[in-house]
Amino acid sequence: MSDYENAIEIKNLSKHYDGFTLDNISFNVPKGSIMGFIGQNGAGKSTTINAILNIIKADSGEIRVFGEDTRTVGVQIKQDISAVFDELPFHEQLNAKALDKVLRHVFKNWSSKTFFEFLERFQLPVKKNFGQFSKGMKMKLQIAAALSHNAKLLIMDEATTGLDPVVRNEILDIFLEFLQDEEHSILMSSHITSDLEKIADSVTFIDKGKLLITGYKDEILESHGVVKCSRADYESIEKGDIVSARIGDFGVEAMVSDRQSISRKYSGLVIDPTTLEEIMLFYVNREKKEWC
Amino acid sequence: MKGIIFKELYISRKRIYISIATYFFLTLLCVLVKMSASFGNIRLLDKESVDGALNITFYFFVFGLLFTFTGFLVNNVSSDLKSHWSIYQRTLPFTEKQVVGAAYISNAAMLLVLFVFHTLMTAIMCMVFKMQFHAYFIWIFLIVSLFFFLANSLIMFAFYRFRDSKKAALFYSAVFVILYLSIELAFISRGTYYQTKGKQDAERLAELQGLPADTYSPDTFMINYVKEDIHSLANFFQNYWWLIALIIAAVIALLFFASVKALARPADAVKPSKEKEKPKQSLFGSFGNQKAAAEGDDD
Repeated sequence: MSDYENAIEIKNLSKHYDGFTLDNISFNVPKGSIMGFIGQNGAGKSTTINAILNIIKADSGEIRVFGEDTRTVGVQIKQDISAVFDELPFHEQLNAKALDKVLRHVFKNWSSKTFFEFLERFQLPVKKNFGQFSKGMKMKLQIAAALSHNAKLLIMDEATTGLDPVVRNEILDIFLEFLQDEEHSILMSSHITSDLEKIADSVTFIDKGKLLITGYKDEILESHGVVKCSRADYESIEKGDIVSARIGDFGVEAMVSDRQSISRKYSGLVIDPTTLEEIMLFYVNREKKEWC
Repeated sequence: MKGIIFKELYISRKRIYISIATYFFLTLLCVLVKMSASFGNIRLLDKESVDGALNITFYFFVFGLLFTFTGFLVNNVSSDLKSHWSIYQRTLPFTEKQVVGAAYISNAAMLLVLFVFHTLMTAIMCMVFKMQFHAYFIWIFLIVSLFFFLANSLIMFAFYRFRDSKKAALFYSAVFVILYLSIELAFISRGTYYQTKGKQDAERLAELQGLPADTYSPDTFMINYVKEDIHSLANFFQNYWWLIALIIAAVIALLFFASVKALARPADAVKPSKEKEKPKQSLFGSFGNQKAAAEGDDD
């Protein structure tokens, strides 16, 4: 593994299915950071992640992990990658003890001690078959397994979906611990934007197979804002200056992507700070322009 | 590769335990028959019946128990697909050769152990039943073991190729049916040959003796040709068992590489069957969600 700046580099990734196209996606996950990958269901997050993990083959584009092209690099690079999926990918007949025996011989850096410590921390039984685990237990088990072989890159596809807030919070803290080591990076796809707001350094937003925004989370949140105004004031705003607008009975909320310049241009307008969830909502409706 | 081999054996452990129990249970039954022939009710029968019972029991043990070998074979591809382990496996530091190789090594090791064990048990049973241990027992065990390995490899290939239980079952069932029908047709055509030759010989003998053509039954002459064929077949197997083993091994190798190639295809090379599609949450979510999105389905 040569010295690298970005844990993941994606350039012009495209993949076509009947009725869906992932269209020229490009973004980077800097080393030592956590990237939140957000989008609706069916936006293309899983497709992108599957392409990174070589589960599916991209039609075109380049994907580099740790600076190496995934098409030509050998399987040994996977020693340093951990994947967590939205469904438990282990046989129901396995239990944690058996899984430890399996993965101990799979990953060179596997630590049974770390794995069982995580199991204890998550209060997961060691000898119970996975078929009897609840969804939350299955997710915690996956995360325990993912964090037990000193992986440098953690890729998670909707890993926290379906978990209660207490468990999600606990897991997010663990991810922050994981990132204490600057060699570690995380790519985390989710539509629970509140989680990403808590821990993500950068964010990539994808919708209907197209990349809409990518960049540092704080910069994105800083540059975007929501204009709350009356219908009359809204009419005075040029439609090209807004992403989209939610028309209500008592007023209009319009998303702008450049707060500073809009603030200068329309001096009377109040532009409130926004959240990733609002950004997602307004961008998803960008084609409609006005929606309720 | 050790990890995957352990996983293969661990997932199959219940079936292996049942097969062990079945083997020893049937062995016990054979021993009980022998004990009954020596000390029990079978001893009360006439000598011919006792010898017949012992012969059937002995050969049932030697050849019949070979079918329990199938229970020891590892084939978890279907289970891997169902649990999505097949997807997770793609994120592990293994090549496709290692993944398929792990199953093949597990099966080869299992069959080798069973081959040695059954040979030893047969030797013991020969002493118990006072029967002769023939050399051909060993090459029959070998051929049968290889055949089971071949059949299992074919089934595994079907699952790797189609990634769907129903399609795989259809494929390998079709192969076995074709094989069975081929053998059946071969027997029928050979049977026709026996009948024709038998009839010719019966008519020729009757003609030589100046008797009517239908004096002798063709069956008496047919049996000679059947015996001749069986002898030739037995000789062929005895002399060329290594060739049969080689051919089976070559087909197994072919299936190995075909399985590796099938496994190497990306996960979306084969669309999952409808009942497996879960539009909301799926490792194949890219299919379900994108199809749903394309059709305008809202979550």
